[in-house]
Amino acid sequence: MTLTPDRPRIARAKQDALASALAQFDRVADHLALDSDLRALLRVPKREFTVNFPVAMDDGHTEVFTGYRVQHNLSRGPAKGGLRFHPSTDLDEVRALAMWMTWKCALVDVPFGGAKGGVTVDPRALTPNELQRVTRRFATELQGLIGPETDIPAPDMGTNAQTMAWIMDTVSMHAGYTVPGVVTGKPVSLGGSEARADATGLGVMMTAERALGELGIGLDGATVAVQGFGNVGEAAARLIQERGGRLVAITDVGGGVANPHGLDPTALKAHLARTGSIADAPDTTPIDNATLLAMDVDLLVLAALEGQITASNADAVRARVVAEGANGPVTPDADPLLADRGIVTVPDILCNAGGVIVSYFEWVQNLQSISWPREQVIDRLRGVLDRAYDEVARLRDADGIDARLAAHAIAVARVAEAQRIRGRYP
Amino acid sequence: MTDIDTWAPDAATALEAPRGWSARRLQIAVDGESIRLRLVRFPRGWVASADSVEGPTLGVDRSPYLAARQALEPFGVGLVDALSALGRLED
Repeated sequence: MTLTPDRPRIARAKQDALASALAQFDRVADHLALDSDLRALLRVPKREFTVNFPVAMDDGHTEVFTGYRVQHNLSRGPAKGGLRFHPSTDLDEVRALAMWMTWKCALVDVPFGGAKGGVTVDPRALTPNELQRVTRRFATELQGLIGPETDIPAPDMGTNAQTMAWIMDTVSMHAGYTVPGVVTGKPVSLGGSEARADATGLGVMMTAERALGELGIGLDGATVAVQGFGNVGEAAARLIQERGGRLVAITDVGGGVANPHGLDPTALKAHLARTGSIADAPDTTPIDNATLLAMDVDLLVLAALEGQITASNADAVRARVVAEGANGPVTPDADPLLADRGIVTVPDILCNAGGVIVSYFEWVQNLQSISWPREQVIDRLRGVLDRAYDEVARLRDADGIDARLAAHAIAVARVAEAQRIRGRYP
Repeated sequence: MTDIDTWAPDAATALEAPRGWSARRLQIAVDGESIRLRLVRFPRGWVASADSVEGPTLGVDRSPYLAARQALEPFGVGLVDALSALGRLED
């Protein structure tokens, strides 16, 4: 079965991302009783950059693309956040994602502020040469904004290690020397970190395992459904299966598959490479997104887009644990509906923080010209995530609040503290 | 990491406060050592203080959590510990 992507729903979800981010911030600002000056400062991005730039296409005509980079807050360090290439990327979406990056970096206590960027483009509609020209021209437009000590992009939706290599090369050509620390998520051969490609999926697996453990459920033998089979969903599915989880359903942008006896993510990845979707893979039953979200499973991993579980479909969710591998997949109005039914949500800024944590490791390795082996990276990642999970759980239990509010309270308090200590210039 | 074992808001030990102000005294155990934290709400924010060997510490902020964090910093209490120690403060 092939699904037609629901474009209006995707567009609506993206518009709602900023509203979700602001609603979450207002809730935690109320909880912490933040003063109005600080509240006003943290509610808006520090810096927004929009650029329209021309690119020569293979057939000779020129196309104009629009790109964005938003730096939300820099009080704790240089800006850090992904660059996405997606046809519905717009400024409001990038604003929301930049704000979430600020909280994510603060929650896991890496010394970065939050940023996000993107180009409104469907990368699958471009040839490799066109994609390279779009990337290099956008990187040139970002010159002066990005750099190892100012703003460090990373891969996101529609971008990958190759994209980061082109950006690093473009910046290096302009600088006259190699600048590996300008981006993270590079190929390992160019100074990328071991385990970076799987880092977000690793984090999803680790934090979901902790949440299941709190309910007395082991990942080994747990039933799992995964929405999204991109960088995050594929890695999470594969790693969860390696830990003994049984993948009973997976959906991607082109369709979905189910098998109560378990799906093989490696075979699905091969099918995706051949056909462009996991739909109609051998030995599977077709399934749509609505059915996947309503499956009676131990763990539901949301690794697709924002706004997937809302007040209108939250009642249908039957998973014990919902792991937010994507940013903002559960809307604020759906949060209490899940909590009231005892469904545990692992909040996005904790669940999918593995990527930025290993990006931080990569940045540190680049600045010191050293390289850590994969096992060391994974051990350190687990250490950082375990500490963050423990802190969230402690505050959640002490205050009697949900994990999302606890996570945001820790993050916003850290940023507020940094802002206060730095004072105001001039 | 600093470990806060217990916290105990105690209405019976409420401080005397000027009109429009309110005060609470919390007993917090840090690594087995007891710290007395005073938290005073006044119209424009919160003042927190605790007794250290070098005299009382001070924290001032519109947020009680951030005020307490400042007051407890000399004791090596981390931000998350400070947030957890206070618990949920109702108006």
